[in-house]
Amino acid sequence: MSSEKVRSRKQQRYYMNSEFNSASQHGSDYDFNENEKYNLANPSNDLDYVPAYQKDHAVFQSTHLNQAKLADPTSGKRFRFTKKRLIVLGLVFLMAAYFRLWKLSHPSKVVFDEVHFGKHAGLYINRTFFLDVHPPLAKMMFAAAGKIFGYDGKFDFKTIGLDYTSTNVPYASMRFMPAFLGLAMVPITYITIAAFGGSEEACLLGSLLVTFENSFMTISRLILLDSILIFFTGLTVMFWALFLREEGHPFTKTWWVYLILTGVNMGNALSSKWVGLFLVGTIGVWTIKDLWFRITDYRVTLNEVNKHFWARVLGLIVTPLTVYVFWFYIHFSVLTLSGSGNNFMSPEFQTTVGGSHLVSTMRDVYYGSKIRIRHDATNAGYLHSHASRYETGSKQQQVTLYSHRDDNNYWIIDYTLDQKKKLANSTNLNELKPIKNGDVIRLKHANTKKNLHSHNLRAPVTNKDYINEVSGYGGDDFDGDSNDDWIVRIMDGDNSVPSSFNQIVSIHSKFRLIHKNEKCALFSNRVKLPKWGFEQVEVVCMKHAKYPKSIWRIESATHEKINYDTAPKVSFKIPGFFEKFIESHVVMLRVNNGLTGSHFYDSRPFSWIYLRRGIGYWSEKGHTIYLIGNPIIWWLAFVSIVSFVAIQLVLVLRDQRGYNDQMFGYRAQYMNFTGFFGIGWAMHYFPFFLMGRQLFLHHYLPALWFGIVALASSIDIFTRKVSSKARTVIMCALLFYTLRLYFLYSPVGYGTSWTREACEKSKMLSSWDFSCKQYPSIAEKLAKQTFDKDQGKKDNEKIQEAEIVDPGQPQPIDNIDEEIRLNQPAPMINDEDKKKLESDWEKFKNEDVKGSASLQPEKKDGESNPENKNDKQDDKAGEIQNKEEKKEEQKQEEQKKEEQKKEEQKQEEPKKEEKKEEEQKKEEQKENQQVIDKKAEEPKVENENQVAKDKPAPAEPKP
Amino acid sequence: MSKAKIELVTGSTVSDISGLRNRLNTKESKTIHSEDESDGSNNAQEKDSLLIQKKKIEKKSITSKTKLNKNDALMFIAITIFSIFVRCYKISHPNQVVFDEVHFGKFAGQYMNRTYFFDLHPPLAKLMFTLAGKLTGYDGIFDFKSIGLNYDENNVHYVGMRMLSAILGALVAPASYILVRASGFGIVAGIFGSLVVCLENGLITQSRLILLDSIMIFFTAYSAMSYMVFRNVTDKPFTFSWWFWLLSTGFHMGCAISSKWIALFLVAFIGIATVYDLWEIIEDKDVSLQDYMNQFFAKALALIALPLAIYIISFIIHFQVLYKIKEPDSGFSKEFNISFEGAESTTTEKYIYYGSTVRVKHTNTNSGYLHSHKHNWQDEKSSKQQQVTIYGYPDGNNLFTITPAYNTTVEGLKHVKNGDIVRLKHKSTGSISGSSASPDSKKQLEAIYTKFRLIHVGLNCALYNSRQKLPKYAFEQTEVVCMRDCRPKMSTWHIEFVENDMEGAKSQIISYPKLTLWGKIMEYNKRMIETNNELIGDHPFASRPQKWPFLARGTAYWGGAGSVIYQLGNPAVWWLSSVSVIVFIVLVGVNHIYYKKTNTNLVEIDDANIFLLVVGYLLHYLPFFLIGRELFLHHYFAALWFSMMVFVCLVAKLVNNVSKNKVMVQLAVYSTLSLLIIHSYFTYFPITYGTQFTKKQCEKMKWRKNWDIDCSHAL
Repeated sequence: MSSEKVRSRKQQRYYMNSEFNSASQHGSDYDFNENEKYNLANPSNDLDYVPAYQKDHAVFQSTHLNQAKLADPTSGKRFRFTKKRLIVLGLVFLMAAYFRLWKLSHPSKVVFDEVHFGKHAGLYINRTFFLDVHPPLAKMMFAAAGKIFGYDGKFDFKTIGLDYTSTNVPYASMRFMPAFLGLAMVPITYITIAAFGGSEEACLLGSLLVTFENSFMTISRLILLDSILIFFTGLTVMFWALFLREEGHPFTKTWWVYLILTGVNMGNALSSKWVGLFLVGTIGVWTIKDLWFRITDYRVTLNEVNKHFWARVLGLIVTPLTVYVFWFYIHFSVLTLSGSGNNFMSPEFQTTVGGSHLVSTMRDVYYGSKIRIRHDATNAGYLHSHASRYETGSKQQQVTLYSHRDDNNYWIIDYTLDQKKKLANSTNLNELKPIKNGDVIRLKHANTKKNLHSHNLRAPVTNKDYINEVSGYGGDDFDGDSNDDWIVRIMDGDNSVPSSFNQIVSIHSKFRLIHKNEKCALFSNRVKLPKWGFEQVEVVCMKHAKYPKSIWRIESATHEKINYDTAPKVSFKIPGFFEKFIESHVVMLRVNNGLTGSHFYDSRPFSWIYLRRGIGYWSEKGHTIYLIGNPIIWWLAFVSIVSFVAIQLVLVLRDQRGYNDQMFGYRAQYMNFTGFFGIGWAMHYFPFFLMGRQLFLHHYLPALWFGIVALASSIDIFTRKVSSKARTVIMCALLFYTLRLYFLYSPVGYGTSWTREACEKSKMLSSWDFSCKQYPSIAEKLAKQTFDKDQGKKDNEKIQEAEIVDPGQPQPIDNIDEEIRLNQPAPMINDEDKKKLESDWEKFKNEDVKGSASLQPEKKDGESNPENKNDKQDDKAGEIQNKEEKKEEQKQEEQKKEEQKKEEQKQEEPKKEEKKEEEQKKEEQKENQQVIDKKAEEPKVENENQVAKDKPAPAEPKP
Repeated sequence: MSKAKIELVTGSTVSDISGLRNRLNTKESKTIHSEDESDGSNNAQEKDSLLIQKKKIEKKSITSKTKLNKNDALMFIAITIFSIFVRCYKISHPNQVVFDEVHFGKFAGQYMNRTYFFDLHPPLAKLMFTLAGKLTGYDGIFDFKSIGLNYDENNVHYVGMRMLSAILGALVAPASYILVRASGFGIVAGIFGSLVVCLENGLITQSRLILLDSIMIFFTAYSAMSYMVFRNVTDKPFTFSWWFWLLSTGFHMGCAISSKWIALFLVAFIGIATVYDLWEIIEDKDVSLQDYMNQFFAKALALIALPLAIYIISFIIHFQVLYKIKEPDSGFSKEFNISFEGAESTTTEKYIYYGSTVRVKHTNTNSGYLHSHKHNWQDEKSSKQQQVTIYGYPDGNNLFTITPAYNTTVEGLKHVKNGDIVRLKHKSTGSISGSSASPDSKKQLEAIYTKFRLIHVGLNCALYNSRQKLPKYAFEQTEVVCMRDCRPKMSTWHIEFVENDMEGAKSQIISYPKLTLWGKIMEYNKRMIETNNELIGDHPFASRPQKWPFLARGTAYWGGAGSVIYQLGNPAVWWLSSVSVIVFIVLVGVNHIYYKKTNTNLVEIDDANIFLLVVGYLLHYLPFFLIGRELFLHHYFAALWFSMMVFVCLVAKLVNNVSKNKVMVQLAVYSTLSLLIIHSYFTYFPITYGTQFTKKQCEKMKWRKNWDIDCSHAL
């Protein structure tokens, strides 16, 4: 444990590391053209430790002396395609194109989030401003695609399932764009692996795995952002890989081109979705590592380090940022018309997107001015009051924030009682007097004449000791009290109107209103009032209030004694691009963090790694689109990451103990190649654990791509020591299995037809919840026949029990175990399902009806209730259904005659009350039908009440 | 050779166990380097011998290893006395309930009355307050209802409880002295360290009141100090002092975590340090696997098992003391509530037959019972049928009768079984909700013990508690829906009450099983986690972590005539500490690069102990960024203490490095810094102790714009 030992060993490791780092500088060792064979033939090439750092020295010299290095033919070979490779890649690409573009127009319906992104494309075409949580690039690409192919922006993609065919939306062309980008991932993967020094087989394997990954296929065939994000992620990594290959020739033209292209595409990824930040992290970690080795390497001069550092700052920070800002610039210059996004933004912002009504107002504010006050920090609206009262606390008039402009937003600045008394003596009560900083004022609501008031009572929603209610108090007949007095504290002004710092000026003065008695500040925190407050935003008075949320400003002012037209005016400053950029980001972040609701298909990150459950995108009779991965790829990708971590841990442990394993000479490559993708995977996966917002399986897809490449590279490296035959066999076996599973799950990927049996059989995890019931099946008939046979054999009691098992179902649906296993997944009830359930229910019911038919007149309740028209309609509907089923009944009746008699005997015995219950049961059944059938959603009065009349009235429920 | 090796192992010093390598001087390393190169292979033997020679030379020169002696004990006592004086000056002064004394005073009272209560902090610190109160005559009658209540008028003996907090707070100062000494610095540095801690106004404010943080910081400091001392004896494993300091670390860690959960960061700190130390031992080939495992398990015992045991014991005491309950706590399960004395237990018949009247309760939440009443749904989209809700209290409207489904008949008594199709008929209104029961157990339904789901036959959906509050027309009760494929947790029910008025029904009376002590502890802790996460508010003095290191704002505790208590740190200490953490990190980074480039040190800054303290600071500070709940300035105090230690050690280290004429420089540096700190301490004296002060003084205190000390209280 001596420090010398530690140091020397660490130094050794350091040399090793710098060797790893410069592995690609060697180039020659890992160049796939010749060296692959060389490596296979001479595995001991990298084995010896000692020569390694002598070699390192040589490399150092070559990096140190640029010219010498350039002259050196072995240092760093450029990445080039051989003819053979081009042909192979071309063939793979063509095949992938077939699989990716097949039936692209197939669901001619709006699917899943096409609702949003289709709509956004339309909004771009219409140029109306909207707010979305994603950056603009991907959406603008859809808009461009739509525009090119003739989408006019009129169709609004309102709900999932709308039909495209009746509209003239070029949806297939719009889908072609992400599909093509998804397709481009195949060559990108190929080149990436090649550039990292993977073998020819590994390149092929990787690109084929990407081709036959069901989730990539499904997600790229729809108008969704993820395919675009993955494309830019892949492209960035590809250029980064090519850049790393150029490390031997820094600051050459190619080096710069690849560096800048990496940065540009990183910017594009970031401008498609913020998940692109993780990509920035991945590249960033690698860059920092690289720079750290340069900085700590005593052979690299400071000047050189500096050059490298600034080159990377330029390429990997400045360039992406520029790209990102550029797309926002386009975004803002396209969206110039007022739209749904306006209300989220500040008035300054709104002036640039068609909010011309905000342009100017009277500059000076005096006692007696009629003003509209805006809450500055939240854009939640104007100080508002109306003639309704709180239902809690003081029960006085409500004061709220209201986001729309109406007459109830106007307040009149008034003197306090004390001031009035003072001024009454002198005659200057009518003199125009500006509001100075520190003045005590009252605010009188223009319509209801109530004063803005606060007192030591708790607010309606935010129930805290330090928060007081704010209400309207007083009025024309009553002067109010000292709790109506507010102190004006100007916090900020604008330099263009210097007086705005010490006297209230419209728009420019930002002020707080401090309650004189309670010393609390008028405050709002975007909390909604309940229904009785019309769901407007709560306004409270907070002691020691936080700074920004207690700031207000006057948006418009008039005064009855001043001619509005001649008075000096002020207007909102028109914000520059960067102000808009920053403001929209603040709002986007807030909205993004607010996405905490739960979606039916949302999931937590932990369940992604083992593909617990997919996402139901769309479903129709006999067709489903369900996002699910190719399980073998999915699981093996994770295994390759885990094995990488495990192997590294073992190696590090053994290093610490003083051994020096080199993994047959592949340790450096394993670290640099698989390691990079392992870090990429981790960077794209773990941050999701910190996110509170709702997450979906498709958030994992970028990480999955890193995993797939890590898988290909791991297989490549682990099989280098085995014979090429065995290597081929291993890769082929994997590919074979991948293909098998790809085709197995392709029906839910493409939304093509399937059979129920195949569907049931295909589920590898019971938690995969694509519904198999919707697919046609012959099993149903078979099940029914066997059921009938069994029924004949069984005796009475057994039949009763058998009826409990739903007869039409091949599987018992109310089996609790089944339920628990299937619990979380929940397919939406689609039409097919609904009908199935209905018919099952119908059959079930009919058997019952037959049993009790002779005992009671049917449908009497419905007729006897004159109020209920719906019931009659339902009865008709019921009759029609009954007719259809009578045929079936007749068949069954013969078999059941004997049983029926027995049942009738039994059912004659029960008392009259039970008959009533029977009636009720029928009604229940009808209701249930109603619930099932969406068309019959209209309200309906209960018949049960009639029955319930003679029973004692229920106790009043406790509040 | 082997002898020499052993020497090498046992002679390891404070400075080289650690993460930062103790650099060789240039010449030596170069010789090794050149030898390696020239040799071209790793000749381990040669190298080892070289190292040993080098070691022997170095061993003589190392003095940084600290052995605590009599002088230190004397200093310890002296500092303690001084520190207690600083903390306890006018301790009875605001004879009113201040800030969170509302809570912790009340809890002490409840411990004395032995009535159950729930709090989101673990019990140890509160139990200590109770004990202190008991010993000094607090009787538990006063209930600390609101801030500002006068103690004297109510005849409350509150000083004892404040004294506990103050004395433990005061003891942090001598611990700091020992820590600085154990880190390898001299007595002067130690005294300076204890002075810094002693005169930190924020800590003083905190420890003069009945608040938990002072106790938590006391335990944190002693745990960290013990670990630092322990690192001085790692070379003599399994000796008495080795065991003593290791167990002391674990013991105080356990106490800290039983006082406040924030001490989890301390666990992370000690954990990481231990793992690192264990990692370093792997390297030493003289430590056999057996030795290694012994050390490993000894540390696991002291640092995992012991704290856990203390944590559990504190809860055992908690539940032993609190055995009565006044009102059932609706946040906890029935089982939990009836395990206390004074709770009404619900008894019921065991078996459920067709025709039984039952009250159905939602199992995994405490929302209440399935309920219906004679009011209809009123939403436009709704069916306008009778409402079914969940209602928290048992009443007549929660009773349902189980009847068979329409197509089955029942003769005589028949148990309700798993898979049966049943209907629940509302007893008082006679309405029916059609459902099929699917109890979980394969057997027949039993009250209380059988947990089941109700699956709708037609729609295949399960009765589900959506936990949403219904609007006013439904009396704001909880919503019940039928959800397809929902999670079992929210759709599991059990029958709490059965009434069989049929003939021949067997009546075996059962009630909820009482929870075991362990069950109670588990449920209590679960609730603590939930409550902690729910603490999202908008308190005016809540603050986010980025505001802490440079003391953006204080917290107003109390205001009286001519005086206020406003928790604000000693700005000099606070800022110097934060700056020194940054300076240390930057210096280490720069030095590392410099060393790599030139093989010489720029500054002699690498010190494992300071590095460890910085890690401690970061672990106590950074995790707060991930915590979404409402945070306050006092959450920073543990981190602050670590940063103060970094500050003191860094100063000592630099002073040792810089000067040849050590005494003069030391004197100059320490006295300047001390004067600065003392000046700042006296500036903020009034708002720390709540003594009277003038407006002029008040305005002078506002060194930063955001410090909103309420000057309207000043004279």
